[in-house]
Amino acid sequence: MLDTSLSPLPPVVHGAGDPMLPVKTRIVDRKQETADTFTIELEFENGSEFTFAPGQFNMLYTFGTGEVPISISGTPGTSKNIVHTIRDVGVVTSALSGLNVGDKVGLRGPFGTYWPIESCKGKDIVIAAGGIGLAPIRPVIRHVMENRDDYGRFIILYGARTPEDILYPEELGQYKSNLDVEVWVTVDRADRSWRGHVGVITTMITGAGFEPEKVAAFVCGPEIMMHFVIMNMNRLGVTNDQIYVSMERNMQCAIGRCGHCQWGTEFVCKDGPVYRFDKVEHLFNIRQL
Amino acid sequence: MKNKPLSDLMVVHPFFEGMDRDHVDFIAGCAQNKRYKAGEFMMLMGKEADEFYLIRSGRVAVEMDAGNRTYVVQTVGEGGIIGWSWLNPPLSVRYDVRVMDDVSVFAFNAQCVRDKCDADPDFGFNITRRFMKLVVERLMATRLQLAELYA
Repeated sequence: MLDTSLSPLPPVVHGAGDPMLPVKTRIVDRKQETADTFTIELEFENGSEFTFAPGQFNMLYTFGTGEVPISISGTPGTSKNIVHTIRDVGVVTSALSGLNVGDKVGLRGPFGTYWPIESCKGKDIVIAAGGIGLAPIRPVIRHVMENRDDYGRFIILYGARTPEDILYPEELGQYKSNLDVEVWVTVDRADRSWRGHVGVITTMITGAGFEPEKVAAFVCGPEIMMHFVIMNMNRLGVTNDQIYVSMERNMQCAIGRCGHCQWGTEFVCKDGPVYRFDKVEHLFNIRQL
Repeated sequence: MKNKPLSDLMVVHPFFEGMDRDHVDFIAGCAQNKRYKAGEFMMLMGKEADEFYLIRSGRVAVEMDAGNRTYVVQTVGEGGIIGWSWLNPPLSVRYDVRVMDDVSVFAFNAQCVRDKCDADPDFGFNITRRFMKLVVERLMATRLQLAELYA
């Protein structure tokens, strides 16, 4: 039985005691990852440090445009750098995409629950991520890589639309070069220049050949993907109390007050985004919830 | 030293999981070992579907030639199955199958298997059900791909 107590960490309030008040940060680095996805690295203008746990998110505010919840995708712990990988899909993310090194971004956070990686020590860790879902789970990957002796087998399953959409390809390549890390990448469609796997992520789950009773699974991606990944894991004998998911809803206040992210009895911004799957399974299959 | 009968080797392939040994022995009469080198085509679209394959090792790409471009629809590796057009008319191959990494397969003569299915309906039902499962899995995968699973 794995950790059930995924209560949010006490909020770290950077904004003069008010969790609703954004604090100014500055972009210190920007990298275009794919055609529609980019990574920015932020630092507080006042030079203070930032602490987060893997799976948590920040509210990023582009001045004059609006605010958007974005998972933190850097190495967990305390650092001056705050890393976010963002897909340009809306007004605010498009505005963020247009910013350059030196530009300012408002930040509130970190918020929410976290992947319980500490309590999974000794387990075989299986990551299943799709598309931009690799970004929120990257802190887990980095944590496991930095504490490799604490865990058993480490299997990363990642699916993307095309080879051009694969996130962090160099990093995945580096992980794969470790003999004790299994990295399986698949794409939905490709031409002959792609030498890797083609097919949906679910086809790799059987092939990964893990021992179900030893597994702690971390699943992140669109809900339809998570649904089929979990179905396939269940078929292999992985039970829902061994599976963690990260949910995405319309998070606005990030402190459970506005109700925009309500999901049944849950406020995803404060009760999530990371859940042990058996705790939310009943909500998962309700349409349009 | 006597060679193992082919059916002894075949039973470890996932396709035969849970199948009565009698049926494995029965279909083994239609099978032979084959190897293909990387770059070779095991199947070509439009050709007669006279064989199907169970992959023992290696990897192939199922491809669709779209004139000016070739799309890889799926890759299939060890334990996978290639070919189900042999089961029903028009018995013609629907996709190209190109070898990515050298493969070793059990190749089945389609006419032989069809004849055995007709001769023994219990065996035929068993084989058809296993191929039905494969077709459903492929259909599901295609639907998921169409649904832009990672969007």
